[in-house]
Amino acid sequence: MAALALRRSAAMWLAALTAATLPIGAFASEARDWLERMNKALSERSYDGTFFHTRGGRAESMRIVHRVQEGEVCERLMSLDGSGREFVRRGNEVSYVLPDQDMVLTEERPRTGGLLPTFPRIDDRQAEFYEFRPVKKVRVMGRDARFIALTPRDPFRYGYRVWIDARSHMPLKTELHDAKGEVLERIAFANLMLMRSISDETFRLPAGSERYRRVYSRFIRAESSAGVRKVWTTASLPRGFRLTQQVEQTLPGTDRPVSHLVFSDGLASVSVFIGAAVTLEAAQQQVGGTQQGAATTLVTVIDGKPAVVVGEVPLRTARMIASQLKAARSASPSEPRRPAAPAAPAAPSAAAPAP
Amino acid sequence: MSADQTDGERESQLSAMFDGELPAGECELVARRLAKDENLRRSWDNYSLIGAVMRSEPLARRHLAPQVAAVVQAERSAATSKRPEESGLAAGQSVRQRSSVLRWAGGFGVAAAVGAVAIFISGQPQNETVVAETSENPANPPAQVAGEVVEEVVIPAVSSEGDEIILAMKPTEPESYVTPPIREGAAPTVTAPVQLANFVAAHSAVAAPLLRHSTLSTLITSAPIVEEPPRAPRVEPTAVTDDASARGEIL
Repeated sequence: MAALALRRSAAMWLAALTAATLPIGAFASEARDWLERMNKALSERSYDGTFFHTRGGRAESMRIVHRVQEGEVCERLMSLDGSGREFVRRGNEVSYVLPDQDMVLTEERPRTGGLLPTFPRIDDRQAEFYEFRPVKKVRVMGRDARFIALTPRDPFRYGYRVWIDARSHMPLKTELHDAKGEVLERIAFANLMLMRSISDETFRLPAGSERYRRVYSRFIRAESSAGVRKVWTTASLPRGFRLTQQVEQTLPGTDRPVSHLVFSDGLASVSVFIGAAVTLEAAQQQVGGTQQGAATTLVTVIDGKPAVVVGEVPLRTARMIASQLKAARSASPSEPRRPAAPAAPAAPSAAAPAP
Repeated sequence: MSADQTDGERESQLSAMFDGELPAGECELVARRLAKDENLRRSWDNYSLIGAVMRSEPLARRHLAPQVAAVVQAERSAATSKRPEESGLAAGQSVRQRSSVLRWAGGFGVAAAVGAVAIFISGQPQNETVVAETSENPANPPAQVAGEVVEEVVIPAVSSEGDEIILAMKPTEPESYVTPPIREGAAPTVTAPVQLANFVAAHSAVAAPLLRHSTLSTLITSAPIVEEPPRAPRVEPTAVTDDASARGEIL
């Protein structure tokens, strides 16, 4: 025991020494490498695990099964506690089973070129918004792991503490905390197995769900930010956030398209849905935000249209992004991106962001 | 509903015992009840696990207070006449052996279960271990899990050669603690509007892998959503001034 403690404190000293001598960039790049490995493991491996998801003093157990086979991703996440809700993804079909609502929401996503979903890239810019600590070798749940800590440098984003299994690169434990260091939520695996194969049955919708109401939706168009008709401008975004994706899509239960804009700082992302999926009246009535752990949902009105903002960011970030979005009436996709481009006729939008 | 109350009281008693705050006399009572009442035992299992998770403690260190363990053990082995040597203190190490995993996964001995974390790295296929418990499972995929979670949680429905077990804990039976199911017509805070679920769902497709579990969990969680505290009406336009330097255009 004493020997262990001694060794541990020696290791800590060593870490502290290294911390003092290495340039900041070195920590960032090592941490980044581990995060990339983890992203890869999470999205490319097949696994089956149970985790506890804790937030606001409550813990809920969930099971996740994830399979990548012949270029197709299947995934199933189920609440093992009260709600019985499930998320099932089979290739490009995504379903949410909501027994408490007697409902299954099913969404068809277009087949994109890549097998895996696009997610924010971690790059050097993150060091501007997050403080990277040196990667630590630790033991957690009996496994050799690496501890990665990213502390936000401003209140527009959350911090992360991740314990990554050294062998499998899977996150054994994850914590999200706010800028003050208060833990908002924690995910800790209780068991986790990497699987060579997982049967198809595993991804069948749960028995009994066939009598639920099925609500379908589909993508009508998925376009990159380059060729989109509708152009939205932002006067100023929270530091580090930029538009990474913009598509037009329908959501379950409605025919009318919404614009789905994604903003990201490389780690956290924020989706802004502008358009008709909620009625304007409904949006006006329920304007306001909800927070569940690190997940924020904001219903608001953007440029006269109902909008919903969802993201793993503080409410203020969601609100700021929403409040800065405007339809750029004059712009066209071919127009060069100059910073101060509001053309002459756009009187109202030019007037809006007063100093 | 009144049963809920008693459950609640028992839970809090358990919790007090777990935290070492219950007087010794009561401890023994609870321990006896624990030995007899399977539901309560599950609560205890869950409780210990949850507690450890929440406090971010190394799970393997959590075990029953020795005297409690002794009572439980005595009662249990009297009841089942099975392997009395399997005590809670046998946690981490011995679980490396396949046979002990089997016994353990079979759900013997609360003492062995509580807080015990079996973590074993398999050099070779773990098939026998896995399949032994699940031979009837292929016909019984996790769709049906809702009712009979236990084995399936720890042991995959169908597994095959080369699966690598990274973490394996004693199955917890999660139905009985902390998170209450959504009560109909109860608290107004339980909104979880399906409408919003759509958006969260769509967002999860673009969230970073690290955050997806969290985002998706939000969607399927049964925990109430915390509403933003009421604020002055109409904060809408031009209110934000935080960071006015950058001015960008989105195409």
